Amino acid sequence: MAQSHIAMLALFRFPFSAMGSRCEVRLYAHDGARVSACAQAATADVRRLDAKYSRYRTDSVTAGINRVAAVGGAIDVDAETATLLDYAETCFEQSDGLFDFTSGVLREAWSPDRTTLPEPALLEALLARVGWSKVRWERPRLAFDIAGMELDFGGVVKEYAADRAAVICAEAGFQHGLVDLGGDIRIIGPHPDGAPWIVGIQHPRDPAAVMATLDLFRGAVATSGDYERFIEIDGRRYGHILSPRTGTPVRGLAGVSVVAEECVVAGSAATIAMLMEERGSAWLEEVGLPHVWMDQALRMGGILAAATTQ
Amino acid sequence: MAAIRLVSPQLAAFTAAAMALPGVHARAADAPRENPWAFDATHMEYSESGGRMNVRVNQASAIIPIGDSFQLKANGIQDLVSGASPIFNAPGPGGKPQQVLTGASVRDNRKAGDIGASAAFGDNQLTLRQGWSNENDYKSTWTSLESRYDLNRKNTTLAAGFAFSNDGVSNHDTPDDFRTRIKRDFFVGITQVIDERSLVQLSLEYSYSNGFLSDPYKLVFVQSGGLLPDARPSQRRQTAASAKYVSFIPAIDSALQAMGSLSTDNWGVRSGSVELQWKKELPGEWLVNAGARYYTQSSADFYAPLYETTPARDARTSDYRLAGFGSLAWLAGVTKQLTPNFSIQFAAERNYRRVGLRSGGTGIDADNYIWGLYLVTLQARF
Repeated sequence: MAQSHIAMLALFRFPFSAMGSRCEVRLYAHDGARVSACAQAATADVRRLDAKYSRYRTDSVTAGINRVAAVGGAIDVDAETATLLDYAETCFEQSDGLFDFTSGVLREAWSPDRTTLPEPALLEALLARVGWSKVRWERPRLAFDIAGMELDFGGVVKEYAADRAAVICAEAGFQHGLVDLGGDIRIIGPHPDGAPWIVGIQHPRDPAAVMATLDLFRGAVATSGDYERFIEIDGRRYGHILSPRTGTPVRGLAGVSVVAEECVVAGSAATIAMLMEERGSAWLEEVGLPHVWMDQALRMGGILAAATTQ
Repeated sequence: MAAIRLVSPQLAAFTAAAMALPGVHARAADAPRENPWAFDATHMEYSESGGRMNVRVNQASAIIPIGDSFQLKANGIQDLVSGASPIFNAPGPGGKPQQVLTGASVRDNRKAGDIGASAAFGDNQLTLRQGWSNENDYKSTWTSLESRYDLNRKNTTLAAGFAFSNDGVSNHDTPDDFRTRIKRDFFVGITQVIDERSLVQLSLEYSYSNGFLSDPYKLVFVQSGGLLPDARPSQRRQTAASAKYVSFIPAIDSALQAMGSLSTDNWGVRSGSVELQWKKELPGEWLVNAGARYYTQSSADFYAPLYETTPARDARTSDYRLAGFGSLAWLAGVTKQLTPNFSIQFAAERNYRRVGLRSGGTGIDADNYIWGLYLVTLQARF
């Protein structure tokens, strides 16, 4: 009887764009009316977070904080923003200061129109305005003692949005489906027959190729890499992940995908692994998160790479 | 992710910080349970046209999970049979057979129940059940063992089972003289999920019965010698095969279910059936279904509406259930999910039995009748 119930389920797909990415909600359901209402609620929440934490919108929470950060001073933040800042602080602590919400100012030195490497003096000047330890965070008050700083939620908001969208669907009673925000994926539940979702991880150097495929019954996967946004100077590739220690793009890993229960944990752990460069994979192993990596010499590793080649 | 491992302090810190984020985890109360408590109560009415049998059935069952991999099931049935049943056929005007029904209305009260236990070991599930049924003139005890095995990522389920029943049959004239009837059932089945929208189910069943297989209430009319008791061979071997295909069709936002079955036995009764059902979910947690069924069977080798002389072989029956006949039925139902935990179902079917639809042998027009089935079921899951 349970099985004839399964056969009643059809897969509904709701593609949309948000957060600068191609996104999709996939849900198995019996009837189209209820499932589209749920997908709309999930995508509305993704768009809400996109607007709330956008770096580009002047009415966003991020813009409000950065207006204060630019001149120095303090601002009280709402409860949701506060938990994201708490989460950012955990990432900062766990990564020995490598994962830093304030490292966005370094982008000034690596703008897409640049044709030469930035002067060391410029990097030094920018690094003086970088550092979560220079910010005083006492919930709900965020205080910037140094003027000219900048905060960026980009490192966690997309993954956080994927988690929330999936939970919205799960709490509406949908047990089979996933939320995919530009490759950051949170599983709602496996296919109705219990089979896992098969997730292909893009090859960091060949957009048409798959570096690894993962079978996911639950949990989440998120990827960080040097290939989504980068600039080329003198034929060399410089990725968008910037080290708050040196002010320069990280080296070593081309991409890393991490599996965790929550997409936000998978995403921040993947970013930290990129920031840790050669030590990234060992750190993920120590933390105990399954992952697959490819370095800039196109060597692969991680427990999930082994699973893929089997 | 399924492997249990110690959580590192770093992961514990990440997880704790992620837990604080609003809406990243489903509230535990909303997460569906894999192995719920379940209670069902059903009331069913079965009635045949022309003042024949009428059965009212009350049934209740409970499934009690113990941990994730063990469950107990209990089921109780009480039914009340009333009305008249044909005893034999007698020659009517022009020699046409006519039914002779029981003079007084039959009233019988049956109580039945079974208890079972299921255990899951990885991809295997084993279920043992023990049942009892008791009425004035029929007592039954049965035991069944069923094993299910999931493979191919649960896309394939294999099932095999065995059931054994030991029945005692008497009649009102000799209420304490119970005669034994033993039945053994074997079955194997396979369920294959074809894709996310369709599945197919095949099963094969063999049963062997021996002992007193006659109906103690039935008689046969022999033109040359009057009435003789119904007498059937003391062994019966039945083989049956069935297939079911269910497919969800997005174009009509509905599922279609097709079923077919064939059976044969050493008494010469061959039967076949096909059933088609349409099922559709409607907004507001309604599920409606409607369908039709065709059934046909041939008569038993030793069946005759009337006998001219006493049959040489000691096997004779005029029981309408062993006659050649066929039937057409329509069925419909509606299920409403009242809350996530409660649902109510109404279902009805109406069957038109016609001797003209038989697939062989003989039957009589006097056995044409209509029967209906109406049921209401309340279901709770926690």
